[in-house]
Amino acid sequence: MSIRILLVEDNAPDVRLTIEALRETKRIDETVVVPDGVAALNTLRGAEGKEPFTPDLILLDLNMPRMDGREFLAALRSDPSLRHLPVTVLTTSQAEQDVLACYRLGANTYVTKSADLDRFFEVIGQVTNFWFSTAHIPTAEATPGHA
Amino acid sequence: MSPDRSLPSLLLKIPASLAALAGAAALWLWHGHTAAAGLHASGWLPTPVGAVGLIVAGLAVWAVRPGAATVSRGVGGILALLLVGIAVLRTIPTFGPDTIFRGAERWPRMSVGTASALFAFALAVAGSIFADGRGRRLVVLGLAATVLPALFALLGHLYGVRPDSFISGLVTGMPASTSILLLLLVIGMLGTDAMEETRGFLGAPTPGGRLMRRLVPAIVVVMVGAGWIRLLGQRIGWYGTEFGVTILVSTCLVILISMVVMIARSIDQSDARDRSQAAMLRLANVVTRSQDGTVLSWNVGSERLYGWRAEEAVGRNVHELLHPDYPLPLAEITARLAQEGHWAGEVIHHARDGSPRFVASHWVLHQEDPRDAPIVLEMNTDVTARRGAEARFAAVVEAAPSGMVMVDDRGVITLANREAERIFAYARGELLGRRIEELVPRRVRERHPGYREQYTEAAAARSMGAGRDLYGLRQDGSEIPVEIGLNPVTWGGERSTLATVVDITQRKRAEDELRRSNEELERFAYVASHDLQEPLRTVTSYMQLFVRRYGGGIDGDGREFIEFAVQGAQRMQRLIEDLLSFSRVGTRGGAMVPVDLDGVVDLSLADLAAAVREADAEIVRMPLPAVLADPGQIQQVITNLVGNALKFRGAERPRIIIDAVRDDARWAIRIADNGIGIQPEYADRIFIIFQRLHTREEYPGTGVGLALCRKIVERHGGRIGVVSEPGRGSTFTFTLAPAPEAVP
Repeated sequence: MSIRILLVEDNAPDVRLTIEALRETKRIDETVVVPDGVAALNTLRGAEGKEPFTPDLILLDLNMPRMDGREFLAALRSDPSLRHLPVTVLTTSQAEQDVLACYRLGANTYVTKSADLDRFFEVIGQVTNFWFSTAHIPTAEATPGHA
Repeated sequence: MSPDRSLPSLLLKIPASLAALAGAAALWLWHGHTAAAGLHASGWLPTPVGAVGLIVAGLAVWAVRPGAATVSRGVGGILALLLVGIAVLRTIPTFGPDTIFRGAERWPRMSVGTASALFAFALAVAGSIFADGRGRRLVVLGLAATVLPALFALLGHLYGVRPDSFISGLVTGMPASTSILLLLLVIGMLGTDAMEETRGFLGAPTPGGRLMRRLVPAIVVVMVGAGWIRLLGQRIGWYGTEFGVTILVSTCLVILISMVVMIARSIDQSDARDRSQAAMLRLANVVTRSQDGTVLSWNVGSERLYGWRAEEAVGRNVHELLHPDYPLPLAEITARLAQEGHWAGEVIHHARDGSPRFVASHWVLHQEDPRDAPIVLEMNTDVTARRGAEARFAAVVEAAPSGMVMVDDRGVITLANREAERIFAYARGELLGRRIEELVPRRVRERHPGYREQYTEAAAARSMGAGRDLYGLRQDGSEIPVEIGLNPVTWGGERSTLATVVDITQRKRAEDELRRSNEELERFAYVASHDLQEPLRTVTSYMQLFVRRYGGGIDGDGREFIEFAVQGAQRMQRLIEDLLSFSRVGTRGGAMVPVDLDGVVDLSLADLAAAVREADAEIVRMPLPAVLADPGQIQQVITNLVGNALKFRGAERPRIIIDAVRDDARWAIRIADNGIGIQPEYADRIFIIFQRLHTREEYPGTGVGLALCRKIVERHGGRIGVVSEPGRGSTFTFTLAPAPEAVP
């Protein structure tokens, strides 16, 4: 079973850092990166003749241009073919109102990016460990409506 | 109509009715009473014609009583004519009223004295019908001519003159009763309207009136009495004619001269009083002038005030001389003077040198004699000095930089200065007389009279609308932010309120700008917290990633360089965080609420638990009071101060004492340690942002902590300071307001 992740993040250094952290976990087979919510939805639904991409986990930043993380969450949870996808919010914001808003919109986990590299790598390791070994998640093949 | 009971009316009616009744009684006696002739002969009963004359005279006097109708006065005239007829007919020897009556041969004829007296009296009655000067003179003349024969007869009877000659027959021909009744009628005639002025003279408080009232009765009593006594002595035979005359004259001289001396002295005294009053009046400023303005007299006071000498002023026109500014048009003043007889008002005169003189002027229209034109008496009191003080006071109020509005207890504006009119955009003088509610915005106008009443009940100097933003309504409908101070003013027994109004448009604008700039600063701070930290995090993260990936290939120097870079970025991050919390003290502060300080210290110590454990510190806590504060911020202060005490500990085991003492109206909270202490000269510097006393290597920190503490304490209206001895320890003290007394 190959494990695929959709990383929604506009900041290139953060993208790279997250990919490095994911690589160190040695669990992930494919990581697709998109810079904002619109691109993320297009990727999930399959636009411009491309096949829809169905990840096992979505890592979502909150502050992005065009469509931010909150708007993306709302759109995702209102789409019947996509609403089952697990979402982990990965952000620098520690604001209470952001945490609450995200869980209200259907986020599955809320994790803050640590300024300390070791701690950041540790958190990414814990997240992937939880989702891909502890928790049960729907398989791509079992997803209803999926080709 | 009720009968006229005034003094002149009674003075007239009593003799008039007495005369008429006595005449009627005499006629009744003559009609078939034989005693009548005897009574007449003894000089007591009037003749029948004389009796008729008395009746007619009495009725005539009654007819011309004061306030009688014109018809009644006409009847009086007819009766006077009848009386003249009766008197004149007596002069015809063979034909007279006497002969008309039955049995006339038995009746004696009316005496010549009675006839002449009745004739004169008839003239007086006729004169009294005409109320002009000639009528009055006729009355006086007629009455004098009546009195003379009546007095002759009365004294003749009193002194027992025998009718032994023609002259003496004339004197005694009038019976005593007739003479008395005629004299009474003469007195009665004083009650007529024509004699009003004479009555006034008789009762006047003037020296002449006094002289007459004292001398006339005295002369009558002395002369009549002395004459009678002289005759009595002569008849008894005590002395002869020469001695009798001597006694009479000497007695009269002594008594009358002493009376004249006494009266003259009293007149002199009252004259002296008048003269001293006149002297006082001279000091006042009195001008008499004709109605058209020609100066008739000009006293010393006027000379002093205006600089014109009397001889220069008299004869000139007062309006040209003094160039007066009247408060009303002169024509109106003149009309009022003519109507009411006097006028008073404030006038500006100009002295000889042109300088203005403010005078309180009182004019009286005065008429010495009805034949002269009335003159105007002007009394002018110089009030220039008072007006000068008033003018200065008014100028101060006018020039005051604050608006001033005086309002009486009914809410009517009684004074408003220029600034008040500018604030409310009214023209000069337009605010006077308006209701204060006209200056109150419509949304609070209905409630305003209630506020005013509350204020009047407990009037004290205070500012209006505590804690609320006040606005004034301008005449153009716009509103203006104002600050209003209220002062109770009692003026002549009336309670008023003086409102001082300050236009705070500028201050309001500055406050708005400050608020806007604070909001901008806060937005900036938010942006900084995210957008500044992001690149720092990237720098730190990639430095660390570099070491993680390639650490094996880097030597010691390289590793140290990278460590410095990471430390720099991390310190930058802490600085940003501290600056953010510093800038948020003012903008993100919470409300001031009663706070239990013990609870706050619990939270702070929980935050610091790891540091306390690590330093093996002993914390001594005294019970702390409740204060009025923003709990989150006070927790920051306590955490910072206790944290510093732990950080700057000395060689021995740290011991931190937290207590509070009452310092006047506030609580002083003290945090004392036994740490390294501070040199006294640095005691102030440590509260300034980014000021540090130690290297980062000795004691890490950004230099923001104590500045933050001071900012928070000052936001609470308190003070913070430190007392320290290097090497022995420091005591930080900050003050806070106590919590309001809890209501049980």
